[in-house]
Amino acid sequence: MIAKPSTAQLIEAVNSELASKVSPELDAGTTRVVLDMAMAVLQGAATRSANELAWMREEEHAVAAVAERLVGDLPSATGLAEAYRAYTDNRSDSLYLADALADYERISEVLSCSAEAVYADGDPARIAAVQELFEQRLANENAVIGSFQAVGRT
Amino acid sequence: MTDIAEVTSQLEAFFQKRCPGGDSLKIAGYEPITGGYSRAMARVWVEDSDGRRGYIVRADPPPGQAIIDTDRTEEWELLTALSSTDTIPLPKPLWFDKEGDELGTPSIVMEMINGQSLVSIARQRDESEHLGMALNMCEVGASIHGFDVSALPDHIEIPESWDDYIDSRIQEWTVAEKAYADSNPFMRLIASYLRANKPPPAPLTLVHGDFQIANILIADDGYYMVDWELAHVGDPREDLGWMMFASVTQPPDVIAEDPDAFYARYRELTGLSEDVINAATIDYFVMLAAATVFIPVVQQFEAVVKGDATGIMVTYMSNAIAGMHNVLMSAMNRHRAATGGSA
Repeated sequence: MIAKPSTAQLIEAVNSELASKVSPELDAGTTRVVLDMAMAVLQGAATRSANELAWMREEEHAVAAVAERLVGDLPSATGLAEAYRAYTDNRSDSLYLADALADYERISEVLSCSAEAVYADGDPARIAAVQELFEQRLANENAVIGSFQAVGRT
Repeated sequence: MTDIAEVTSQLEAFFQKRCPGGDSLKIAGYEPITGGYSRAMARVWVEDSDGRRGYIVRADPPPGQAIIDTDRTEEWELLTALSSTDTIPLPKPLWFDKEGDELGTPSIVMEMINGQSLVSIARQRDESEHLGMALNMCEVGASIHGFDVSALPDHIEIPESWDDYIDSRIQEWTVAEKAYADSNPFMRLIASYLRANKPPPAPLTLVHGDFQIANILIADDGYYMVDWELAHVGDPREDLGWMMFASVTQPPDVIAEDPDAFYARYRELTGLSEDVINAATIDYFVMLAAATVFIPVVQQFEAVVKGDATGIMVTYMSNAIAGMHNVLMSAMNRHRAATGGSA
């Protein structure tokens, strides 16, 4: 396969053309809003293509480590235990995107159940540990969208 | 409304039936309005023997194009109920094509207010002028929250109690997340946090549901509130929370210079106490109120996840959802710091 330029580079080249050649030709109307939205989506797609597989696996491992402890510490959190078991029973470690997405969805359910379990329990240290996982996820999302401001709202 | 010639022809026939000029009336201008994320909006100018005047047409967009689906009949009933009391400043609703027989899609026609949105004006003006605008906006908010809910149309539900209402709003986050085709742990985190950190209750009132500077028009004779499709009866702090939420994704934050002055003025206008109205309780409602827009956006975005939709508006919501996560997490962190709240 042709690996270089990377997918991110290809998308960024397209975005650059749209910004420099198409955008200046448009008035501030609905078509301009469509283009601005499309360029924002493309920029995010470029960043994701370069990083998303690694980010999903990094988040997955971090959540799994915390969840394993919580399952041991909070035996009444049956929803968390079930979600964690579903994750460990099915994880694939495959590098195909569809497989990574399936693992990521299962670990996301583990993260949701972890949040519910620690807030029901109320222990500040456990809450802080789960909160850190959300901060990690948020940091990756921010790397994709940059500083978000809604397009076209005037 | 896609083909301009067809649209203007439909509009001409529509206005000819309703305006004194009859067949002599012509459409003198048609301009789609950018910025709305849910309805297809346009400014229309007509000319007849009475001269030239403008109207706003607010219509359902083509299927799959809106980020939030709401009902035009319910909106029309609400607008006419609000307008008839003359206690809240809003553009007068004039005509309604309920089935879309005449305009191609269910459409509300309203008077055109000659003015600009608060967001547009605030971006042009110096920051030192923002607080004055915010205090005027505060009065609009207080007029909404002081509206007699018994005068609302029947479709607007009045909750049994504050606790029931707040619990049901919190539950919306969890139910929506579990029904979503993908997984969104932020939604379940928000629900867990809100459940563990309820603020003191407030009287239930009419809530605009999208109370933000993009939905306030400033005219020579005052401020007007537009875009009522998400109105409901709930906690009035939802509107203040949503205003703060929107100030991040659609700046500027017009109360940034002196939030306490804004909240003090709101307390003065509504009679609510400082326990109920303060920066921390509003941060709670930044999170709670976000459900009104966040959940429909996620539900619409699901069509993209499933491959059933490709419109740029809904695709772009991928960025918007991530942007909203930031606002929610910041509000949670501020609320926790102010109240010591975690559980």
